[in-house]
Amino acid sequence: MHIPDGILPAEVAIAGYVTAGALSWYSLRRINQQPDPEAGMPKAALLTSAFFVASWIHIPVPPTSVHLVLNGLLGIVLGWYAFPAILIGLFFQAVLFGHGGLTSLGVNATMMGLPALLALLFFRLRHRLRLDNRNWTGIFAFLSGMGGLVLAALIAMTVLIATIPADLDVDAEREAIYSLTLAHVPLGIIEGAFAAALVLYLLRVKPELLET
Amino acid sequence: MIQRPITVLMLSGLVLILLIGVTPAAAHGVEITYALTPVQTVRVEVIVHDLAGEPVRKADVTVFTPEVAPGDAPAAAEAELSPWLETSTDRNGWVSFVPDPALAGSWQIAVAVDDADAHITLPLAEESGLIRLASDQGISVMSSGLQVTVAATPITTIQVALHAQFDTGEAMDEAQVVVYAPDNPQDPFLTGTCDAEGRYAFAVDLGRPGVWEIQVRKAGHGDWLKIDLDENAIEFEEVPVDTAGDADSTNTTVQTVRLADEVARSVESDDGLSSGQIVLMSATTIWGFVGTALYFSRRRAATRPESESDN
Repeated sequence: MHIPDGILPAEVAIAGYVTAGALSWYSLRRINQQPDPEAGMPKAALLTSAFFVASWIHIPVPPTSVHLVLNGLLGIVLGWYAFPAILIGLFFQAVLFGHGGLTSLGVNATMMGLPALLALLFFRLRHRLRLDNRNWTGIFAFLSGMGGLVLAALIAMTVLIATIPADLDVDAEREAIYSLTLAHVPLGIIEGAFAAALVLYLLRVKPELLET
Repeated sequence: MIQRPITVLMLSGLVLILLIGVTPAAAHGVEITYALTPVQTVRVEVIVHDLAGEPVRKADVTVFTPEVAPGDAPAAAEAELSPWLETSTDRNGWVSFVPDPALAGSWQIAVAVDDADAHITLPLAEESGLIRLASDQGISVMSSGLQVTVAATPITTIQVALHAQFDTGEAMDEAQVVVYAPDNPQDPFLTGTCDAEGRYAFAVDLGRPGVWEIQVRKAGHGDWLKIDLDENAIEFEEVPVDTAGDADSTNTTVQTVRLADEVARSVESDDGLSSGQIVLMSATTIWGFVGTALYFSRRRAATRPESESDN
């Protein structure tokens, strides 16, 4: 899921930074409009560390293995703090462990952060549809958690397929990208279940943490 | 109260999945290690002329390894077997390549330009670990408007053996390898595919000294490798042979080759992180995030003590 340095052409990397910049600006503006922008900071900081370590947790999906991303979950729980949290988590992953890269940071942040915000909007839809009882909240959390991850995998697939260098065997590389994307479907189910479990748990023990 | 058992069930299922799947390694970074070995092989030179003796530039030259059925370059092309090398001639109608020394046998070369084409079988025989052209003379083929001359000169060069794996330890099987020669970073020197263990080997052409760049890539994961090999990458050594007891000979030496110290050192240097470093780096970073969370929650608690106590 994390695209490393040296894979993407320069214009795509720059476009990634432009979209990531725009999303950061919009997220920070929405955070600033809140009555107390600092209120979400402890939660955002904690979940940034969860996002930071999540990529260490590998789930074997033969013939490959995938790792947790938790972007949908961050969107649900953090609201507009999700994008800066993902951006910071990715920065640390890239600098410390070379997981992802600095030139591709913008693309990676957009790829995981935009679906996180879309997951948030979808999760909030339950209020408008008046489906915000406990069961429906769990279902919405599942779909948001799963959707955020699957959407990120689809964005990664599109970006990678559109930029396969001509020097490679394009068909073979495309096949490999398809199979890796497909491996993210079971992961989506796991992340959806994790999001639903966490949301139901928070709803029971500390519902004020779930303002979204 | 139906939700509570469901939550417990989901959480325990998740914990179970994670316990099965957790691998303590940085996620899907790529680790490429390589070994350099001096090898003796041949440099194959292909020169293409038209029947008037003029060099033919930009003729497509396609090379197939002996793994393809002998004498069957057209069949190989039809069967869409991936060629070992695809290139084209320069303005002198000339192109050269260094075949993989591990692959003795009948190499196939197909030359095509506009409406003319020619196919050459290049028998490379192995003799005590070295490959050379089976016949001492070069090969000359004339066909449908093209005259192709192929010669093979023995050279000593360096074989690069790559091993590509994800840093989970999983092999990058079937990963694609693209090699760029120092004097032409635009067009690949050769392209190939790793085996099931993520290994790939090729011989560089030391007639093209400088930094060789190698891209290994699979499904958007991969890395670039840069190997600096100049003319001095190989050192020749005279090794004295022990001839004690042989009255006739005195101080016999044998010439051998070895990697220059500088090149050998660059291979040995390993900038990978130890697991201790990784754990400590993770722990400090996590503590940074948790500390930030604690700082802000305490600050909030300190600034609003009255309103909190009202609740």
